[in-house]
Amino acid sequence: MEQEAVSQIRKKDSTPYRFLLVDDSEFARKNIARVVSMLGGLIAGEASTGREAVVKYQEIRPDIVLMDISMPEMEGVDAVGEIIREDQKATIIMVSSLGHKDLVKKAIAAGAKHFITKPVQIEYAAKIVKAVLEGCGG
Amino acid sequence: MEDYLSNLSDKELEMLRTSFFSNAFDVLEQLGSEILRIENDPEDMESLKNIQRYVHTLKGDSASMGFASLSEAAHRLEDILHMLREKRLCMDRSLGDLLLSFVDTATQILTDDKEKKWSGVDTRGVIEKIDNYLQAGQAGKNKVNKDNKESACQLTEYQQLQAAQALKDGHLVYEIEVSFDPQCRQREVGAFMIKTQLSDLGEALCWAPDIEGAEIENADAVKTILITKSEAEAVRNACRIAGITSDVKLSNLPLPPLNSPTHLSSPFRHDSTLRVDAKRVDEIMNLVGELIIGRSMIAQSVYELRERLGKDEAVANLQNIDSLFERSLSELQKGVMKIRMVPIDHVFRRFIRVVRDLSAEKGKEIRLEISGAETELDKGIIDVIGEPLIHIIRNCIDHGIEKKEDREKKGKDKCGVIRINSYHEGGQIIVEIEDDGKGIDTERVKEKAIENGIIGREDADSMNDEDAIDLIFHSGLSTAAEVTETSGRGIGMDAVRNTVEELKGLIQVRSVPDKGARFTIRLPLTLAIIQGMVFSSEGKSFAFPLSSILEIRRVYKDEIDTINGIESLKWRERIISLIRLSEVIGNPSPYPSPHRGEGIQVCASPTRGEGSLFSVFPPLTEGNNSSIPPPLTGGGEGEGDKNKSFALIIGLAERRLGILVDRLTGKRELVIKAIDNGSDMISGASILGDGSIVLILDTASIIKRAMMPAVGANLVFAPLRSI
Repeated sequence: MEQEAVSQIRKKDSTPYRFLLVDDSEFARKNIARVVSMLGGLIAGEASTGREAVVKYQEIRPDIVLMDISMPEMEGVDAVGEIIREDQKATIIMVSSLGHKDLVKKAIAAGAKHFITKPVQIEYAAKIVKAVLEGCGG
Repeated sequence: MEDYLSNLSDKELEMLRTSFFSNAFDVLEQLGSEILRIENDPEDMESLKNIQRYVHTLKGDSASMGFASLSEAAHRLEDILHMLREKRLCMDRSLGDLLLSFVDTATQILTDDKEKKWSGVDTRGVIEKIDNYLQAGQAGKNKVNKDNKESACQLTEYQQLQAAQALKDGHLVYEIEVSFDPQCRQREVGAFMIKTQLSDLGEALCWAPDIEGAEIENADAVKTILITKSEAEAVRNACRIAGITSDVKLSNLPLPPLNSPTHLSSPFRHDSTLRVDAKRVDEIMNLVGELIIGRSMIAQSVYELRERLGKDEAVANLQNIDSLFERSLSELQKGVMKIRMVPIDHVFRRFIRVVRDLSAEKGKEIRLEISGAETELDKGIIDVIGEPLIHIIRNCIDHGIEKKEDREKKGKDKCGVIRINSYHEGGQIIVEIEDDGKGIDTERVKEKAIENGIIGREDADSMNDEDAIDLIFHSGLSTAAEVTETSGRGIGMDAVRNTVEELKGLIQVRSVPDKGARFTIRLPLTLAIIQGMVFSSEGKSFAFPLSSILEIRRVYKDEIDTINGIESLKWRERIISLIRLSEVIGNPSPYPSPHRGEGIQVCASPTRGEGSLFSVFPPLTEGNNSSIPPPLTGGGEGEGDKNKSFALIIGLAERRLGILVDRLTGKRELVIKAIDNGSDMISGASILGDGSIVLILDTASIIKRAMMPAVGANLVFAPLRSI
C-alpha cells in the first residue's frame, strides 16, 4: 500500500462534502476531524450519542456520517438502523475499536458502508472515506 | 454425565454399554484404517475428514459413558487434526505413529473395561505424546508447513452436489481468492464485507479459512467458492473494497462429476446398515435348518403317497406345493446365509498395520498388496481366521523377506512384496498369502526337526523339499522356542494348521528358493451348512466335508499293496494309507456295532432343541435314495464286487489319507446339527430327504486317530516318507 497523501475531493458541484461526526469522546471526534480536513471536507455537525446522531442527521442531512460503534443512549448499530430507515441512501462509516467486530458486522448488515478501526490511522481512514464517497468503497 | 448413567436401570445401562462398545470398536477399527490411508496419501482430505469425525464421535461417546480421560485424549487429538486440516502440520510417519498409538490405547482401555480386567494402560502416555508432538512442532517449526499456510475450501458432499447442480443449470462457479490489504486490521469484519458484497451476486458456499474463526485475523487471503450468474469482472469488482482487499484471483472450479459413486453412496451408507446381534441371525439359521429338514420329510411323504395312490390329483398338487416350498426355502437359506457374510476386508485391513509396524521394526522395506478384499466369508470364519493369517504374515516378514542388502545382492528390488488375495473357487474360499522372499529354508527346517526328535537323520537325508516344508506344521517344530519379537505371541505354524482344521479347511504351502513362498488356505463358505460328500461304509451313511476331499478315485483290488500290514495305495507319486472307517471309528458308544446285526439306528425327531435330534432309532433304510440320483457303487454290481471300491483321498493341512468306501451317494448340502455323541470324530449330523441320518465326519480327528499308535502305528503318511 503506497503511503501517498490522499488528495482532497469535492462534490460534483465542487462544494465540499458535509460530514456528521458521532462519538461520545470529544478527543475521538477531534481526531477523526483530521481525516475530514485531509479530504477537504466540511464538518456539518457533531453528536455524542446515537440518539443525538439520529436527530442531527434529520436536521442537517450530511453527505456522510462517521459513527462510533459504542455510545451511551443508543448504540451506533441502532443509530445506523434508524438513519437508514429514514434515508436509505445514507452513507455511514463505522469507527470502532478492535474488540467490537460483531457490532461492526451488525452495523454493516444494517447498511453501514464501511468501517475504520481505532486507533485511527488518518491516511488509511481517508483513503477508505474517499473510496466510499466515490462510490467504489463497497 | 455420570449422574445420568446412575439413573439408568442395570438393564438399560447394560444395553447402553453394549451398543457403546460395539460402536466404539467399530469406529476405532475404521479410524485405524483411515490413518493408514492418509499416511499413504497425505493429500487425502476425505480421509482426514473421516478421521476427524471418528475422533469426534469417540470424544462424545466416551465422555457420556464416563471415560473422561479417553475423551480428554480425543479432545487433544482433535487439536492436532485441526492443525493438520489447516496444513499447519503435515502428515508423516511420526504423526501416523502418534495417531495409531491413540487407537491402540483407546482399544485397550475399552477392552479392559468391557472384559472387566486391567492391563494398566491409561491415556497418560498418549496425552504426553500429543503434548510432546505439539511442542516439538512449535519449537522446531520444521513440522510446520509454512508454504501451505492457506487452506483450500473443502466443500461438503452436499455443497459439491449443490455446485454441480448449479453448473448443470447454467450458473457459473468460481473459486475466488481475495488478498487482504496489509493495512486492514479487522479482517473478520473485512471478510464479512466481502461476503456481504458477494451475497448480492450469488451464493458463497464455503470460506477458507473460516471467516468467523481466529485464523482469519492472521490470514493473508481468504478463499471462497461462489455460485453466481455474474461475469468474472462483476465478481472482481464486488471483491475490490478500499482498505480491505488488494488482489482478487478468480478461477472456474473443477468439480467431481455429478453422480460419482463416492459422493452419492457415502452419505447414505451408514443409514442403510443394520446392526444385529449375530446370535439372532444364528437363531434364524437354526430355524431355517429345521424347516429344510421338515421340507425334506414332506417330500418323502409325498413320494410315499404317490407310490401308494398312483396318479392322484391331490398328490400332484401337494407335490407342486412342495417344490414351491423347496425353492422359497432355498432362497431363504441363501438369504440368511448372506446376512452372516462379511467381506474379508475386515481381516485384511488389520494386516496393513502389522506389515507397517513389523517391517519398520525389522528394518525391511515391504509393500503389502491386497486383492480380493471384497470376498465374503461367514462371520464365524472371519472371527477366527485373522490370527492364523497374521501369523503367516509375521513369518513372511520375519523369515521370508530378506534384508535390503541381501535382496540387492540377489538382484531383487530392495522393497519386498507380500501379496494377499482371496477369491471363490468351487464353493470354497481361497486365501493366498505370498511373499517374494527367500523361500522356506528346508535344510534349517530339517535340522530343527532332527534336533527336536521329530525325524531321524536318515529320514532327513531321504526327504524331498516338499515333505520338509510340511514339517513346519508339525507341533514339535514350533517356532515359539526361538521367540523373536515377531513370533512373540507364542503360536507356531501348528496352531495355524489347527485353526484351519477347526474351520474344516485345508492349508498348502509352495516354496521356491529365492523366489518366495505361497500359503494357500481353502475354507468352506460357511460353517452352518456344508457341502458334503455322502457315502456309505459297511451299511452306514457318512459324509466328509467336500473341502477336505482332494480326490475320489476308483480302486481296484490289485492296486492295493499291503505294507507292514496296512493297506496302501500309490497316489500321485506318493504312498498313502488306506483305511476303512470301522478301523478308526471302531464302535464308539452310542454307536451300536454292526456286528451285532443292529446296524445304525438313528432317526430324526423334528424337535428344536440342540442335540436332541437323535432319539429312538428305527432301522435305517438301506439304499433308499428315491428322491436323489442313484448312488455310485464300486463295481456297478452293487456292494458284492470286492474287486473294486472307491477311495476318498482326504487331506488336512499337508496330511493325506485314503478312506475306502463301499458306495458313494453323492454331493449334498448338509445342514449341520450338533450332536452330543461323545466322539470327536463325528462333528455333527444332517438329515437327508428320506429322513435318514448322515453323520458328518471330522476330518482332522479321523486323521489324528488313524495316526495313533493303537490303530495306525504303522500307517504310512505321505508327507514323511515318499517313494
